[in-house]
Amino acid sequence: MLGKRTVTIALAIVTAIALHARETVRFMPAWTPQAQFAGFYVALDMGFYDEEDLDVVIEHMGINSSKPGIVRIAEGEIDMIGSHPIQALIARDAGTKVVNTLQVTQNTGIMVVSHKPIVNLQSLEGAKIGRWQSGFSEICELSCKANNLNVIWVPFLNGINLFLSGAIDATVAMSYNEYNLLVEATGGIPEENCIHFSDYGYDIPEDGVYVTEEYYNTHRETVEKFNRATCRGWDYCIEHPDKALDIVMKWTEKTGIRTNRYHQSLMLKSMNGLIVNPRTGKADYSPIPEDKFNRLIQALIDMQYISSPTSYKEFIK
Amino acid sequence: MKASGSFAKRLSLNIISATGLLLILVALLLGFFSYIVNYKSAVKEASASLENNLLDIEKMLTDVEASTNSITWLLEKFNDNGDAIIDVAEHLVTSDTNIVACAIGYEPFEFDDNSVYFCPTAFMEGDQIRSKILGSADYDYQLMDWYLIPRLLGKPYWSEPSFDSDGSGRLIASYSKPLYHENGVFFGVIKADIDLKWLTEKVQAIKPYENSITVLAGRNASYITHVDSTKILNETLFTQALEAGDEKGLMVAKDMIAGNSGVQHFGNTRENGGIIVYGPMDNGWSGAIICSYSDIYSGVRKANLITLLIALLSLVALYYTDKSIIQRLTQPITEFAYSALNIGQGNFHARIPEIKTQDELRRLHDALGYMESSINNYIAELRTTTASNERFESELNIASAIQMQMLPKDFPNCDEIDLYATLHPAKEVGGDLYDFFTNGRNLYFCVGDVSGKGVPAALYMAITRAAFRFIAGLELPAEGVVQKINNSFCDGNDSGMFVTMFVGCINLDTLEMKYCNAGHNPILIISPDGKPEYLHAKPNLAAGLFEDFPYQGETMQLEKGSRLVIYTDGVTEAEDRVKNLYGEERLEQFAAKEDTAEDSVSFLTNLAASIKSFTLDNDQNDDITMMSIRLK
Repeated sequence: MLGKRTVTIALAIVTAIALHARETVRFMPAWTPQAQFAGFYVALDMGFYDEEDLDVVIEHMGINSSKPGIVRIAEGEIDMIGSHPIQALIARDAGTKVVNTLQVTQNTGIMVVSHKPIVNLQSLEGAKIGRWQSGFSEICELSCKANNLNVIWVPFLNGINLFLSGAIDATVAMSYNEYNLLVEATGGIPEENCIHFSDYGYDIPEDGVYVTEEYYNTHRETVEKFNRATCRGWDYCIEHPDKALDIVMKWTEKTGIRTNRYHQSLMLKSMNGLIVNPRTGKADYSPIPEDKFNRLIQALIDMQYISSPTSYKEFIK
Repeated sequence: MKASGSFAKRLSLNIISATGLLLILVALLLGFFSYIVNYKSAVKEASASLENNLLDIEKMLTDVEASTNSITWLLEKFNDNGDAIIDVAEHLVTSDTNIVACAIGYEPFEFDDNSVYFCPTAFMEGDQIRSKILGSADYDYQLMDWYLIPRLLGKPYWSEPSFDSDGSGRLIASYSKPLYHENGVFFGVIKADIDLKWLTEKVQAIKPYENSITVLAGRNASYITHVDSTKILNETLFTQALEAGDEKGLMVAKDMIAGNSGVQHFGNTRENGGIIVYGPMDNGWSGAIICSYSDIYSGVRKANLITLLIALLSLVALYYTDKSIIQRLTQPITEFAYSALNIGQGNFHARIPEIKTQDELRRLHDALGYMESSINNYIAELRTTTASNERFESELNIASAIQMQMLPKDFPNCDEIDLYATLHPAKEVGGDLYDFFTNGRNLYFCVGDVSGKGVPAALYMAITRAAFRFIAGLELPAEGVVQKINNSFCDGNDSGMFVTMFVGCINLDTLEMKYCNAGHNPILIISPDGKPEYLHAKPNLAAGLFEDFPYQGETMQLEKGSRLVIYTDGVTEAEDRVKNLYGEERLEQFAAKEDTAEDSVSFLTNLAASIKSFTLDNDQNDDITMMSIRLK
């Protein structure tokens, strides 16, 4: 009699554990720890992922690593990545079937900073411009190509030293990161030396969360939980930027990233600005609008970045 | 404020104040110049220190450049021999103790037609030399700064310092030199890493002052060395200035990364301010020494403090010395003060201190002696004068009494007449007079006023009264009486005295009055019905002016119940405070109000009161004589 009861209780515990099994998610942001990914760190640090029964592990690419997240997700090293739609679409066209599960920012922060004043896109004709090897600067390339500009693209890993050394005429930069680094290195960048691609009809949303189609199909609930907790993390960043900054600085210190609080505060402020809808004043995690997506697909095909179209429904989840 | 304390104390304090003020002024000037000298010295010292140390650092970097450059020909010669290339890298690391690692990166397919990457690397592990081949898609050195920048620039390049990727926490900087074939085609980059630990230690040791801070920054303005290690490669020269909106800080940082040298002041006060001295290095790095004013001026401040203390002690010593000297020098003044006090208290023979010197004190001694002598002389004269005055006053009082005694006191108040008269001299003795007497049934009376005042007038008054009584007793008519008196006055009247007078004689039976007015005030006759009227007699001169002047007498019939009021000009010319005269009109008005039946004593008493109420407390300036004759 006693043995039967014991077996019953043991089965019940095993069933309960099985029902509430915590799942591990390996997430890799697009770059090394910085305020650009504050929402993910906050969600982890504040226990938002934990509340969704997720054991999230955030991994970063090394500073000297040139292996993009798209490659890593394709190789199964990680489950989710932070990336940009263009990069994901190019990867998808190349065979890595990734899908967008969450769009964090609604605007682009991509820009080009030059040693000399830039009047318009045509000012870049013949310029030697640095671009990241890991991607994220495709909008610049696409827009130059669309304008038939003869630009010499110089791939590099990261940072601003290539530009500061004078080895190139201009460099791609993110308004929330490299631009501020340049300001901190020079004391100020004249606005006439900058060109923002959002001003030229290339305001393509950037940071989003991507998984492979296969992962999405088998872990749909996990993805939803992850995205829900991530949005809570970003909401917290918008409401409590100082506390969020504390968490970001813990990550930069832990991973030995050379940065400072002032730089990260500027970055977080810029990120919050890219997330909050100026019309509503609230965070907007809407997916890319379908018409904008279709125009992007057409442009990528026209410029031969991709060979075949991807449907909105296939890509946006 | 009332001065207190002794003269010596106050004089000492004044001297000390003036001296102290002078000392403060001198100290301020000295301090000011000391500050300028210290400032210039600090700038010079810091600049020299910075320049020398930057030169030392540059020399070391130049040595590394020379070591690396010296072996590049080997690479250009043996670029197809992997072992030889590794040997070259190891040789560089072992031959130059400053170099901790050497990497030689090749262009894709340069070393091996099938390999994109080839990057032999030699490095020290403890005291052992190690080597390995780097380069992969995950470690794409061809995209790294140390390779890419010299390749693009086509010239050697000192990379911005960074922490070693091996996790040692070692701060390294790399010298990279592009490699070319003989035909000028680029094929790779050689990189020599140096450990910047020595650099950090060297820079931290640069301390012109105890709390000086020396920093080194790269071309990208990142701190390479800093006393706060958390700022190294984390912050730039601009970070703090940007965060604080410090325009001056931004200006200095811009000047530094522009490769300029200079000196700038910062901060608002001497407490939190200081100077920053900065200068460039050949490889684009820059250094700066920050010295606080509290450090720079600490020596001056100590010296100033000691000077101040010495000055204060000197002032205290000077105060007591001064006080003692002044007390000794001014002792005679104290004694003079006692002497003056004694003299003031009436001791006019007080001792005056002896002064042997020929200075101001001697003059004070002489002046005090002269004062004492003068006072004594004056007192002697005063005593004589006072005695004389007292005697004169006594005699004058006697004269006054005699003069009053001359006047008749028995005023008739019989069935026919009621007569009363008063005389109030303005001084002890006066020149007014009145007199009356009866001879049978005739009443002789007169009221006169001798010119002038005082004793001369009193003497003439006495003469006139005696002359009247004698001459009137001869039963002469009134004008005869006056004529006789005139002639007797004119005889030997060298002093020019004269007398106005009204002489009258009333027959008590017939009430006929014979009278003569010799330049006197008109008498007032009040009729029985109370109506007053001035009696304007024939004009005659005052007696004593012209001998044998023909005086004219007159006669008038009086009525019973009428009153005669004879007076001197002291009544009508009595003045109030604003010099208004009592006057004949006011006298007439007074007479009109009085009861006709009123006795002469009351009448004159009331008249005196009326005059007093007019003049109030104004001094009486003339003799006042009044006579009232009421016919019953």
